[in-house]
Amino acid sequence: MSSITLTSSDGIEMSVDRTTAERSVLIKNMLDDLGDSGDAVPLPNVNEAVLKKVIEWCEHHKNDPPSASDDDDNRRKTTDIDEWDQKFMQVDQEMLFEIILAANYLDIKALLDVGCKTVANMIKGKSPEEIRKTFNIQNDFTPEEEDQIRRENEWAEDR
Amino acid sequence: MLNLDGGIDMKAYMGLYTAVHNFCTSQKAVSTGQGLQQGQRGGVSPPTVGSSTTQYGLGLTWMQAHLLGEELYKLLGEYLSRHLSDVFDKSQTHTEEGLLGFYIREWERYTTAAKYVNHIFKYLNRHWVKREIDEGKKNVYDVYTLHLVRWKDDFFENVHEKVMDAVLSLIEKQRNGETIEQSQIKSIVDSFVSLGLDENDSSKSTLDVYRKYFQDPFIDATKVYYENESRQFVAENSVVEYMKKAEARLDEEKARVGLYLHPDVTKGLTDTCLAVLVTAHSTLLRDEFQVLLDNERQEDLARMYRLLSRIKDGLDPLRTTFENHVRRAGLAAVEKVATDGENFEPKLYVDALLQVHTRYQNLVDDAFNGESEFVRSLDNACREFVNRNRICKTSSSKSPELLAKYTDSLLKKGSKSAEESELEEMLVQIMTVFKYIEDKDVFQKFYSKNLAKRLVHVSSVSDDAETSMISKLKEACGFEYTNKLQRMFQDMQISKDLNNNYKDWQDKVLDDDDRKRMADAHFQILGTGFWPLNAPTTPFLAPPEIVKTAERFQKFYFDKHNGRKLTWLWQLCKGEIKANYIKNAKVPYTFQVSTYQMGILLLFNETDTLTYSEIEKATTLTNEILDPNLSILLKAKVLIANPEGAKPEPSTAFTLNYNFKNKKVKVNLNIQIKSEQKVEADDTHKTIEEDRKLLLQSAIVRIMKSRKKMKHVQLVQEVIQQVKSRFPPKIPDIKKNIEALMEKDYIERMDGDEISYIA
Amino acid sequence: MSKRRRDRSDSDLPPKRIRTVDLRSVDRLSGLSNELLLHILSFLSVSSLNICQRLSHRFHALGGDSELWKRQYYSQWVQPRARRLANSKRTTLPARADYSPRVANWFDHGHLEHEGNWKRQYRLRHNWSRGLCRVTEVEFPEPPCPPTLVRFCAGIVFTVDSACGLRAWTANDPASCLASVSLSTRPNSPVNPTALAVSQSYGNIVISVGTENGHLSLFLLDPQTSKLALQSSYAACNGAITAMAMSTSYLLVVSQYTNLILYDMHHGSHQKWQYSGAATPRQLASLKADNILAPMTLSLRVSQSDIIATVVYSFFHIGCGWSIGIQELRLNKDGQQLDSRLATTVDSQYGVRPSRGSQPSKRHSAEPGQSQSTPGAPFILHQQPPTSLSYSHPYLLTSHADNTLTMYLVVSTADDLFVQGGRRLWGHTSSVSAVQVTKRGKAVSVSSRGDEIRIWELETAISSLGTRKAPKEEHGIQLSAGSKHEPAPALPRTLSESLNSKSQETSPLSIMQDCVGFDEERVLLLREKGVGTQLLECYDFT
Repeated sequence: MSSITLTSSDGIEMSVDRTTAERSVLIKNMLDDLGDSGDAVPLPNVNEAVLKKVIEWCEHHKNDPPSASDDDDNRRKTTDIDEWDQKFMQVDQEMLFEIILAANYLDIKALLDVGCKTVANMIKGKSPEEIRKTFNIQNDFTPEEEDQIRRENEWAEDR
Repeated sequence: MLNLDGGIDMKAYMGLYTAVHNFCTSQKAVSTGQGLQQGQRGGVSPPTVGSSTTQYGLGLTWMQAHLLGEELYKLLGEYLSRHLSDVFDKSQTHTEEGLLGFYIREWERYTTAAKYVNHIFKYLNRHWVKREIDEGKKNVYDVYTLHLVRWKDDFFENVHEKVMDAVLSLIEKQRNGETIEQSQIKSIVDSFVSLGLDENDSSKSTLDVYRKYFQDPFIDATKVYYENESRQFVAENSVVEYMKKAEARLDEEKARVGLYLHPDVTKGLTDTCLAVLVTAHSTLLRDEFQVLLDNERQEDLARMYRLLSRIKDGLDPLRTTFENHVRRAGLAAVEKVATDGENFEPKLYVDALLQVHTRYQNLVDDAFNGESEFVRSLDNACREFVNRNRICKTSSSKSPELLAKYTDSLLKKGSKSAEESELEEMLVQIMTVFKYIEDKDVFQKFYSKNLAKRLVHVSSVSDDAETSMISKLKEACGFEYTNKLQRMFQDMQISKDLNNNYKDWQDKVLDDDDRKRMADAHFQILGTGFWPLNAPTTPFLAPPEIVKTAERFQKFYFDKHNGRKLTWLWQLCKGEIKANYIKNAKVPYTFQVSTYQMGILLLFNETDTLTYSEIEKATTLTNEILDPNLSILLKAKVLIANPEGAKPEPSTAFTLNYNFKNKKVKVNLNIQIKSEQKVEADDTHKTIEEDRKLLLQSAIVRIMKSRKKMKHVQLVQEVIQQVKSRFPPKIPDIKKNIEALMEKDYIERMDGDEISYIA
Repeated sequence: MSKRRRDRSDSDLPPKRIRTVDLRSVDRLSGLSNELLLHILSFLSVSSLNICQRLSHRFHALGGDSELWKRQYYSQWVQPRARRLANSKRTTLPARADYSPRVANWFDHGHLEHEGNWKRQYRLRHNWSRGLCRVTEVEFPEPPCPPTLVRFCAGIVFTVDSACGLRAWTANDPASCLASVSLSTRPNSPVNPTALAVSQSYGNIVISVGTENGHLSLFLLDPQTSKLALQSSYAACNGAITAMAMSTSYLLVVSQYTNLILYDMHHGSHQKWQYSGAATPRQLASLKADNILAPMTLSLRVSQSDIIATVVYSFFHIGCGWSIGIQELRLNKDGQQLDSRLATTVDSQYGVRPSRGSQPSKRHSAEPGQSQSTPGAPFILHQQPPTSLSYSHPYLLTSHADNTLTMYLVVSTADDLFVQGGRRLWGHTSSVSAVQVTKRGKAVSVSSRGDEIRIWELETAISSLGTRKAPKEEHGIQLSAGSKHEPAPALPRTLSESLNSKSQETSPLSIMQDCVGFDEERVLLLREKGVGTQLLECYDFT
């Protein structure tokens, strides 16, 4: 099995199986287009720590069947995350968002979904104030605005 | 920014991808929030104004989140347009094949680059483009498709005519027999196909562009080319040669599709070629058909069939010609048989019919692919010449009669056909002719007469052959048609058992004395309804020996079956008598005789000489029967007439010939009399008329019973429907029978041509 | 390009990290680009989305994103239906019910193709399904003597009475009168309007008013200028006009003396819809009906080649009480009668499904012996005439004093006209006095006191008609359908639960008549409160 070398933004080289690396559609397309020249693949948007994490995920999922249709509704219906992924995502917020950014950049759909679901789960069931606190979101509404928005959205409250 | 010349390294590739990604994800913090209160947010103002409108105040704001990418997309499109206009400028310097080469080179370079660029702009595709499409925006495509759209709009639209001209001239060269570089055309086709985009769903492709810009001009050119070629060829060559040419051209064009065209063209191309090559010349081809038939040019006929079968209604005129041709051939064959007058073997006639059928059946199978319509034409023709030919001129029932006779000759002992399989094959052939016979009831009549004789006289070639024939008839005409034949067969079986029982009974009941006086006899009990046999036409006083035997059997039979009536069919009975009186014979002669002859001869046990009237009185036979039988005995020299050489007439006396001599020990005197045969055939024809009347009447009653009321015309139609499997009824006959039934008060006439059933 | 260069030179990471010093208080979530935030939000429920909108301006915008709500709308309202249709054997639709962003691919939602604000659309649908709405009331100052007639069309309410004439009100704001015009040309001879029909045509609204003395007046309202003007008026027949139905270019009128008249309002002018003063509606056909009993209702369907005018009336049948008869007249565009067919609900009231529809139609003159031939008792038996009828092909609804509605499905094909189904709708707790149905199968019914309004989605109920096994049990479920569990076959919701509803007084003297109308967003109700006071109520579901 051939392996390729990835270079992180901070210049660290890492060798991974080609199948593992090809979980990233970006890397897969590039290798398809250019062929494997043996050169290291520069990833100017991902640093070593994040890249390691991402590779760990890809290793674990390298034999997953390719995801079904683009707009798989069942995927969206549930925010359930399988156990391994849940553990994998038990990282600090900084790393969580770095993983999401890296998955988005590297075009790893399944990882991006896991990351986004994790964030979605952090939002679910919380009051606005709790959510703001969780993510340090600044409330830029005036009290009047806030009150108005609260009222206009009351209709969809779970009852 | 974009290197379309290919040859990009990994670093540049990743750099470009990252640039696109960062462009799309940058400035995110400032590009939001415009839905609520525009411009109130601090910081940098959004790079592009979001498409948000405010309705009904805050609560119902119509919001579309804004994604980045539009600018990039627009710039990319503009870049491509610039590139393509350069390409177009360069293309102006090329013509013909050079232009093709140029187009293909540029196309390949461009699409390769498009594939790269599509991947490099993947991030744009994934988010901005996808969203635009989801929102239902028209004219936004993924980056690869954008390349195709630009190519089509900015380059293709300007050059497609010239390109097609080059393509068509290449194809024409190939049709003229030159070698061309097919791969060029294939590349052009692929390019045109790629450019077809579904306006409603850009993820799907259509063949519209290909059809409009390639297929249509190509088909037009094809049409013109073959119109010219075929016109010229036909003028200079024979039709047969033209057919070969046309077939070759059709195959060639079919192969062309596989070589370098899109399969979608197949139908249009084939239709065009057929129209120009076949339909346009179909009259010419058809005119040749009769000539080919006359000369039995099977291969050319097959070719013509293949060509004309591919165009609409191409074969119909051929079928009519073919049908007429076969009918003429059949009539001619019968004519030949009939030249020898009335006296020909039935076999000769049937063989003639079969021969014509077989010849053209083979032609249909081999040249016309066994096509069902031609089979039908063949059937029509055969039905015509089987039922209406020179021999049938006197009576349409001649064919079935002859066929039945031929069948009898095959199934009767002593026929020459040796092998059983051969016999079976001949029976199959008989069925072939039988299928065409219209008067099936006539065949049935003759056949059952003959069968009866074969059974009664135990002269069948084999039971297997008989059952085989019956089952074939049953298959062709149904149970009812063969019902009586089967019953006859059963009666023979029952009789066999009965005789065995009788023997057992005799063993028990009779003492030796009785037995000595009994003739050794075998009895056949034949059901009156099933057998086509009549009671004797003459009274007959059987000799006492026979009478005793018969009475004994009757006693046994009536014990078994109370209330039945037995009629002795003396004319069908036969026996053997031993001539112990002849002196110079080492072994006494055995005479095989009919019962009537037996009656005559046994009289001579008492005396050597009897006068005609004495014999007449003793046997009570009528002259019609007595005279021929006496003649046979005289002819065989069993009896001697007195005066010598006298005919059997009242003045003649008969003396037993003690000096009888014959080479065989067993002498068969039971010969059928010629005149009897003729009478029998006439009788059969007479009964047919009678049976048809009954069949018609019973059909009428059956129909009326179920319908109760019916229009006259309808009734006639229905009757024809019901009986036509037996014979083709004549309408006046049906009407006559309807009248007859009215007289008998089965049905009555109502108002308005209606007939009703009287219960 | 230069901008990106700068980003990369600053850091390998997206630039938002530079903004704050204290890592612990960084708002990383808001730091994400829009597409990522939308992706995260797409995993949230409707209620979570609404909460997110309250976080900040940015989340307010993203949480209200139309594409997000389009998806929610699909999975909430379209997909369940698509599944149901795919499951029922009647259809051969593809079983695939995956989300597609192309509205044209949705089942029967083509009319929403150009919808831009899916959150609003979702909310509207949500409110209808739960009966949530705002109520506004307008009190008519002058008590009109014969009850006011009301019609609702294109967001505008039209009322007509003898005193105030024809008036138009916007449904959004029923307090202000948009336009008004007097019916009578002479001030001292009041005209009593007896029938009112409204239809939209080429951007204008055509109003037809029939009067007691058989006069027919056509008015035109330009919604842009709010100008209401009389177009033509003339005597149509002798007796009072009792019912009218209008399509874009045809008008069907029934008079007191059972004349049925069809007008072509559009003849001659193929240009823009305009009434010149001379253009009097052309009378196409006039038929005399033998007998018509109230209540009755008319319907007019115009197809490419012909016009189908339907008269729906009630009659008494000895076997099964009050029944509904449907007479369908097919006319060509020149008013020539091509065909007339009759069907009744008698068979379906007995639970018989007409085999090939060729059952002899039983009129109210049917002999007793005839009805005995049908075994058993009808399972729908009305001892009193229906209080109102509404027919919008193929739905036929009747309301009854016994707190129920009865729904039928009219099947009209090229060779057959018959009534299918027949099923009671339960839920009202008092006598039902008015019902209106649209051809999309949405119906609104009002109790006689006007204090209870129920909304019905008939489409689901109809689809269960085809495969119905034990209709009575299904009705039982509906009876207890105060519950809010989805998906009950038809979902009645009382408006007394409504969000802003004031406590609704009940006035036993209320008479309901011709007084309810609704469109996609609103229900309009005209009710009488006390003696001589009339209220126009608008229930707004947006």
